[in-house]
Amino acid sequence: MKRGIVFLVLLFVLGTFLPSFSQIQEKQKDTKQLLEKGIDLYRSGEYEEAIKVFSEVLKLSVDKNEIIRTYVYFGYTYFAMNELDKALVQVYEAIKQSPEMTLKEEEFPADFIKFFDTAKNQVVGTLFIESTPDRARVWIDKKEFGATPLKTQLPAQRYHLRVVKGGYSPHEETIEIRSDSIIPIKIDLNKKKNWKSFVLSSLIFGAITVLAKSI
Amino acid sequence: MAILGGVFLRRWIFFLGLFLITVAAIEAEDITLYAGTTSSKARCLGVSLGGDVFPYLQCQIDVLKFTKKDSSLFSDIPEENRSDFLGASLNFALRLPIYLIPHLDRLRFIAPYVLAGYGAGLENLSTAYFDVPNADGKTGFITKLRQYHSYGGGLIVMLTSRFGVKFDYRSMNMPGLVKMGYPSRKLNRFSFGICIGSTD
Repeated sequence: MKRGIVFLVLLFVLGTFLPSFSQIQEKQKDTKQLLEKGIDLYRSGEYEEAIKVFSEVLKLSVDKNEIIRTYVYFGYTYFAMNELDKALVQVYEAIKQSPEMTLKEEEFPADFIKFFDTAKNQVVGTLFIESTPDRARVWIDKKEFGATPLKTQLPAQRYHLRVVKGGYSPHEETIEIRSDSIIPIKIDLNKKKNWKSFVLSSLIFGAITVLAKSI
Repeated sequence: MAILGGVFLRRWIFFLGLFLITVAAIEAEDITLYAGTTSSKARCLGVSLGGDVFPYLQCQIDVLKFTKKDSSLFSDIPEENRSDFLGASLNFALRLPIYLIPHLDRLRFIAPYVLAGYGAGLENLSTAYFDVPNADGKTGFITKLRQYHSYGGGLIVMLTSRFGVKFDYRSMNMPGLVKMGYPSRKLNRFSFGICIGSTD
């Protein structure tokens, strides 16, 4: 009897949420189709209609890659209409979402790619972090970016940098990324090693030696 | 596999576990190619791969092979010849940071260390030797494996930021292989090597 009730409750819950899940799937499919429609409108020269469709996609879409692609095509459409200021606004939005993105030559003409790259240089800078020893984990504004040596592009602004490696005190500082420039940072984590680390290492070494001998 | 019991098995499980954790944890930072000689006048070549598991504590995997045999264990009978040696060991080296001593901070390029480890090796690589049965009647290379503990120390002198030389001395103590009737053995090894890595 209890099992039956539990089963019915589960069925009810699933029945309530499944339609929502399928609705989400449908919505994603819709925005994808809408974006493709916008691109087709652009290609057939119906720029005004294409702009309306791209605006609609941006309101509805939750997929990051789709949003970025929409911004790019939005900018591309304005670019084709020779409204460069408006094109720049959309391109900036795309770059902020994905500072390291590049445009494919087979998808966009050279003049727009050049326009895009110029806009990118105005918005992003390059950060190059090296540490001694290397392979330290890098966190920028609480988001992990990888291990040193690390090269990454970021929108121009201030960030909180944290570099962490096991056995060393973490290194933290505020950095400022300037557009169209490379910011090199060299961190000597060894300055954080001290007698405390050595004593700890000695204890571990002693423990391993004694343990190995006793087995 | 009666031989795989008791102390032997516990040691192997311990070091296998340590090895797996180490392989997961370290990123090989030091490679050393070395040549050496032993107290029994055998010569050897070897390679050591190491990585820091903690500041000042490095784990090394060391593989060693005799190039000139140990004449005291040589025999014309292939089954009795134990003059060769091929061994692998897992060692922990504790680097001594002399540069942390006041006024010695310029000596960062010199890194003395002490070392302890555990390994195993074979004194003959021929199938005739492996086919010799032990006291239990068992054959195979497992029955001939000589375990050993290594203790020693050395000095690394970095000539550039990534390239240096290493002087190493260690004592390899092998307990007797009772079921084969082999007595305990001690090899004191001195070697000189080229080290690619850093002292930090």
